[in-house]
Amino acid sequence: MEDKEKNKYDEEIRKLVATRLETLPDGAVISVGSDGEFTKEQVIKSVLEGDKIGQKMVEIEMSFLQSLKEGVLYDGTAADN
Amino acid sequence: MTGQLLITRPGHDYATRYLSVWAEKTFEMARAKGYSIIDLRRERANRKEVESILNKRKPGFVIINGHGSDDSVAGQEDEPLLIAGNNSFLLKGKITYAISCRSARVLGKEVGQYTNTAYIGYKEDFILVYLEKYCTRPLEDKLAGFFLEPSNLVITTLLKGHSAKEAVLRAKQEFLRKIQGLLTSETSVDAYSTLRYLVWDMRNLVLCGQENKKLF
Repeated sequence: MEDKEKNKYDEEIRKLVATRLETLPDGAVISVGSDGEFTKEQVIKSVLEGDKIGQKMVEIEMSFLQSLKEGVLYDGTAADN
Repeated sequence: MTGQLLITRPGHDYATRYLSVWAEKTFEMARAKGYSIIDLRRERANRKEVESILNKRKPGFVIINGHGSDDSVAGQEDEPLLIAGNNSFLLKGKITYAISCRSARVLGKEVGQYTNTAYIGYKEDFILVYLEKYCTRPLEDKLAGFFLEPSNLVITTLLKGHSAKEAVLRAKQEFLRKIQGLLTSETSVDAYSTLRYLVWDMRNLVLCGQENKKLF
């Protein structure tokens, strides 16, 4: 994928993840270890800006979608080490 | 059954306070099982005290609540308590459970190589979601409970005498039970939205070392 296409793809992913994070409850705080604690609004902003926390949120979302594909939510054995 | 359990419970931010308060829910069972609890709260969750207790009192079960990194777990004000390549040998012969980010990657792997030793932890960031309105009353926060009840199950399963492998398996099953519960139609959208983080924590909970290690 060329750089320009990749950037566009990444931006679309970020927008998709940000939209999905809108469903978090108001007043929710997400603790990401020593990186800190972030409100829903802060994580959405981070995702759109593509900073470190935003990248982590995208990674978690992608991992979640992969888990859905692998059937982890219905088959506990897929969650084993 | 008598034994000693060392637990660190820092409280310098809301995340560590949540971990520390929820961990206390396991104390009743620990005492009922005859365990003497060495509870290092807040300022006492420091490296000097941890090293001293591990050296002198030699607890068989170590529970670390706090922030972490690939090669360390931390206490109050994020002071590193146990560090790979430095003082990890203090965990030799014990079962350790670290509710801490990423420490299974390097520290856990190193500790797991000691004989007759098990280290349970997370190979990625441990994500906790809580509601701001409960930050001074963590035990009332049901959303946080989705994350911390499965975590506590690692501890209670071990206290019942099951193996480290069984403790991890049961905790993963409890994460899965919560996840599947969230998929039902009665679940609010609010709770449903935390699914991604529960799946993340479930998948990153790992055991390093001796699978069949038990407390007794």
